[in-house]
Amino acid sequence: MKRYLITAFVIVFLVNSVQAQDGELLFQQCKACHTIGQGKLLGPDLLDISKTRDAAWVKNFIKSSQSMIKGGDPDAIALFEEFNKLMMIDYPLPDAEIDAIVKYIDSFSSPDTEDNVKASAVDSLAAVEKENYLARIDTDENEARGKALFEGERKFKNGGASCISCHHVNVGEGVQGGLLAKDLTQSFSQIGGLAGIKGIIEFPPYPAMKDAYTEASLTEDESVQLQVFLMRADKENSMEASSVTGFLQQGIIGMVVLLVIISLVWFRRKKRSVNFHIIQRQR
Amino acid sequence: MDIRSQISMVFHLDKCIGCHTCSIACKNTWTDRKGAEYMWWNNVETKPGTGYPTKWEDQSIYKGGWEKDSHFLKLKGAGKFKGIKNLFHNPNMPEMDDYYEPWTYEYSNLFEAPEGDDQPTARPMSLVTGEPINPKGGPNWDDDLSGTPDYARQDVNMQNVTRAEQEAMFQLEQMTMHYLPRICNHCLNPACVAACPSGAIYKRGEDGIVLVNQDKCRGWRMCVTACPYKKTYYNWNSGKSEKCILCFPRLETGQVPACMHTCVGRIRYLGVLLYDADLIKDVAISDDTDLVSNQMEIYLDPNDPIIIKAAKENGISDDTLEAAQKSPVYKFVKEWGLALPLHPEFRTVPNLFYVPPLLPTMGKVEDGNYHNSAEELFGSIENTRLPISYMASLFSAGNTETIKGVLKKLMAVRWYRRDETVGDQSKTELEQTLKQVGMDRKTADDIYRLTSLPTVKERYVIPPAHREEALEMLEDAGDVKGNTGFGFHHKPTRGL
Repeated sequence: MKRYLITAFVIVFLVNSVQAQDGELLFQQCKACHTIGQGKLLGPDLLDISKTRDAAWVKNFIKSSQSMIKGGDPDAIALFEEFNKLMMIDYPLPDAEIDAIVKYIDSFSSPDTEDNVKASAVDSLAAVEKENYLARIDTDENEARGKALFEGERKFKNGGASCISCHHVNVGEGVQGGLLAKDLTQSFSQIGGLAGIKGIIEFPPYPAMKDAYTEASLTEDESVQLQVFLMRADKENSMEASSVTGFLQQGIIGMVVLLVIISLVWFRRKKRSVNFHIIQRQR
Repeated sequence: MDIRSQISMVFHLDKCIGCHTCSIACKNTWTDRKGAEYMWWNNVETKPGTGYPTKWEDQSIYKGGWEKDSHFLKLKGAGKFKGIKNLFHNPNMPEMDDYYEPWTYEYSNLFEAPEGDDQPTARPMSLVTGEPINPKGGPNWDDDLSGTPDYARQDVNMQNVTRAEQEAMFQLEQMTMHYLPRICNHCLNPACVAACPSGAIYKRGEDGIVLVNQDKCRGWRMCVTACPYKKTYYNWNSGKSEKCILCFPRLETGQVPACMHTCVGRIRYLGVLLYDADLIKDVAISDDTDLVSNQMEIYLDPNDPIIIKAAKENGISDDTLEAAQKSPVYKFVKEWGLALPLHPEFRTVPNLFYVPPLLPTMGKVEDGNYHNSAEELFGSIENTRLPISYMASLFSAGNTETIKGVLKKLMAVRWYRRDETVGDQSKTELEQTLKQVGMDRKTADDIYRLTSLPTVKERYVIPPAHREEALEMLEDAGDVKGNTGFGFHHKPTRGL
């Protein structure tokens, strides 16, 4: 608690000390989930946000997206649905700071359509690079190391708490993890792939995590290893999920077979009263 | 030799007038309770007919009784596999429509109906739902309905009657019927006892009455399926099965069971039979044709000194032996060989015997006219209106010779009485007839007397129940003897 308070003071001090106009610095806290022109992470790409959304709406959303969703704002709900029902944390920032952030975002957008074409070309180039990158990092070694880090067998270099103290991941014989925070078994598909995980690990948006890892941040290698571990855990479990539906199918087929056998075994049972026809006729 | 005593019955079907007084007496005594409304521990059926519950004799429907499986007997409807199969759903039982939906009449309406233009009526009200119903069946719904396609022609025993015989049977001029009163047979090899998973049904040692222990019964209803006579009933209110108790509280106090006591036609006889329990299995497993003759072998002569000695060694009291010697049942069943068990092919070795009906045999039919001035006064046995094969299906597991033998004896007694009272027939022919059935004039006279002129004490010979011995089984009289008499259940208030 004490530590939390201190960190909170530090954050408040940091936030206050920066120039309100320094949008780039302010945007650091958005980076975990958002990019400007580099595609989706946990949340949407914020490029051209001023063109697509009303300024007041953006302001409200940043301040408290959760109350907007609860209040039934259709756009907010649509976003909420689109991004795997992950709520954005409320950032009750002063209006001036929000303006600064939006201004910073706007500085990226260009009216030039040719640039957009270029950007998409860059995107496709990036996709190829992404694939190469993925092939490079997606190794068994990384997974094993990630698992060791997650379960606390290996310590984080900067002394952060191992993930298992708060999180659980379902990996076969794996240890039962903590129940304080979300089950991360399907985090890979839920929070937007490697980039999402990377964002959260490196710039944790959640208060408790921010608290724990701002000073004991993870190294890039550690981050990559954890990403690979979580990615593979997710794939394994989605395969398991498909075997669950198979199990259901088998169950239904088995039951139909059983019902057929039962009806055959009892086929010659007495099905109705002996004088059924006499009684029917009198109706 | 394991000699035991059995209270058994003979019903003389030639005497039954089908008045249902027995059924009413039984109903008023025992089954006028909630949940027992549909039960008729005693019922009277019209034969040919489907009976109550409908087609109870058809074991391909109800799976009652025993089956012979090469060298051993097995229950048709119970057993380890069948038991598990039907543990939670026993489909072979009669359902309510097979019995009937019991009803009463709304008599109160006759008194309490508001004044109106119409005469108030007592509508039939279901005793199950309490709503008004239109009765569509009852325990004697086919009463006197011989020849009807729904009932008489559906009689299960018709399977053993040829097509031609059936056609002849249902000709208007020949149409006939007889009554068949039924109670529990208190069998020697009871299927209900064997089928009960709770061990609640037992056969009383002292008199062979089969009873359902209401404390032990768990309502499995296996007995309802197992009893081929469908004489155990499930009480839906108490959740237990019930059956005819042969009015044992009456028997124990020397009274006649209610159905017999009230019998208007005086068709019922009750008495003790001694039997050898070691032979039950051999009897139950014998071939269909021998079932009746083998069953007759199991009953022992109570006048034979060897039997008497063995019976005494087995704990049968002198009183019971004396009752067995006077037993009218022993005379009908063993001495005279006139009474036969109902459906012995169910292999339960029943102890209720029937003297088959000697209905008016056919006179001469000429040019479609019925002549009653036949040369032969009573016609011949082969020309009975009910085909021999039909009666054989009822009383001798299809053995027509057994039925013919009994009918001939009954006929001989009639010839004898004709000779005694009118004397217009040839004496030599009578002597020949009597000789043919192995009967002398005295026996014929005895049969006539026990059939037509018996006193109550001749019809019902009830052995003393020896309750004091039953008491000694529960507590030792020696323990309390010599203290303060036999003690008190409740201390007298006047003080000691």
